[in-house]
Amino acid sequence: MTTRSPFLAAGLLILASQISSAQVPADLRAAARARNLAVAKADVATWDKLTTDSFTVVFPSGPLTKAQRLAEIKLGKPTENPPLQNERFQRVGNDFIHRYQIDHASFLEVWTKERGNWRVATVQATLLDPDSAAVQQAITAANARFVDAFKRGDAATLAANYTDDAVFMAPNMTAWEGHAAISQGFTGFVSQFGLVDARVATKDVILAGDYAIERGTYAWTLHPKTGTGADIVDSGKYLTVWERQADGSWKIVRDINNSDRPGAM
Amino acid sequence: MTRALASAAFLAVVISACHAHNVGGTSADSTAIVAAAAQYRQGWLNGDTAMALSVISDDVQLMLPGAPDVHGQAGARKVFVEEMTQYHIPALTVHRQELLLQGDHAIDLGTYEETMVPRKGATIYATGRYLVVWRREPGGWRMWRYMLNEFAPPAPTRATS
Repeated sequence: MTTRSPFLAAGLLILASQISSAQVPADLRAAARARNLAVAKADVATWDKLTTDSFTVVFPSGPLTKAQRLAEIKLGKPTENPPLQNERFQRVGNDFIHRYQIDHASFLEVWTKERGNWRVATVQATLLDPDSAAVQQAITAANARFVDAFKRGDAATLAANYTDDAVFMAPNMTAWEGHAAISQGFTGFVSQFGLVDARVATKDVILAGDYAIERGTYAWTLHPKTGTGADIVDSGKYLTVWERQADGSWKIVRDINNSDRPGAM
Repeated sequence: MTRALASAAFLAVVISACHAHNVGGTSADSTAIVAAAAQYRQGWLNGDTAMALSVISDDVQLMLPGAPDVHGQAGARKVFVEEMTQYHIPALTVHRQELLLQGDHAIDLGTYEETMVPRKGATIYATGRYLVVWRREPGGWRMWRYMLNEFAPPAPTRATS
């Protein structure tokens, strides 16, 4: 029991590499969502219905049978359903592998049809690189400093978030390449606009060697400092590549964004 | 700028001033990514949704100007079908500026130029830049994060002799 599940998962992964991805059945997606929600809400009846009788789960702390896991869920307190990150489905014969991350753990589920319904046969949970939590915290802190500096009109602090060879790419304007251009760009920008309100929300961060790839959204109001122009309200999204520095800190090396507003470019 | 422009305008194999950094990757990875990008481009030139989607991750996030994120193959398929129905893309050129490989991910950065011929109306010429994160998946390299932003349309130029 203790070793079969990992081997099963590993075997399925090998098979999966030979099979092209296929469209995921809607009822499978719905079942996966319902099962995650059942765990969050301590809804043992739904979880039981969506789990095979021979189910096993392997946590970092060790394996559990279905009965053992059910007992754990029963004892749990209902919580909010956490968002899944990097969710992927992959067909393997008649079954599907469902992979995703929650917080700092990675999950691999094997879904199979049993008695006409999609059910999970096995789950393997792995803790992510503990470094990723620290990186996310560092990025969150850096983003908070960025917004504060913007509100103060502190171009030097804004530019200090970027490496010497960084590239900042905003829509409809020449890219700012290198520290001097980025510094000059922010200096010009904060001389023209004040930041009235701003929200930056990280959606996910993935570590890739010495890079951390952050996806997020922003919403802000810019107030022109000169003239009589109206405030500019905007929201959009960004993709930022952070690079680990020699001292262990993180700085932005590539940064691109665009607006959600139609016609805003 | 419309979403149509943004979704269509994308990768090609024309590489101008491209430099690749293989950190934890190999030249075979670079070659595979360039080939996948070529397949994607050809899908758009052919109006072939399946070909374009074949290099898109199931977990893709399309971050196009003028619209919220689009997630997953199903979302991408909807966008691609809509755009390919509305527009013919006879020309699509990409100037890849860099391809940074880091293990199972690659950061692909550059600019694009495209011609879009709508079913009705004038031909559209668009330019912009892209940043794509490719991810190594069991079936090969797939586009996993895809963001575009656009340049303003050029001012009309006066003919000179």
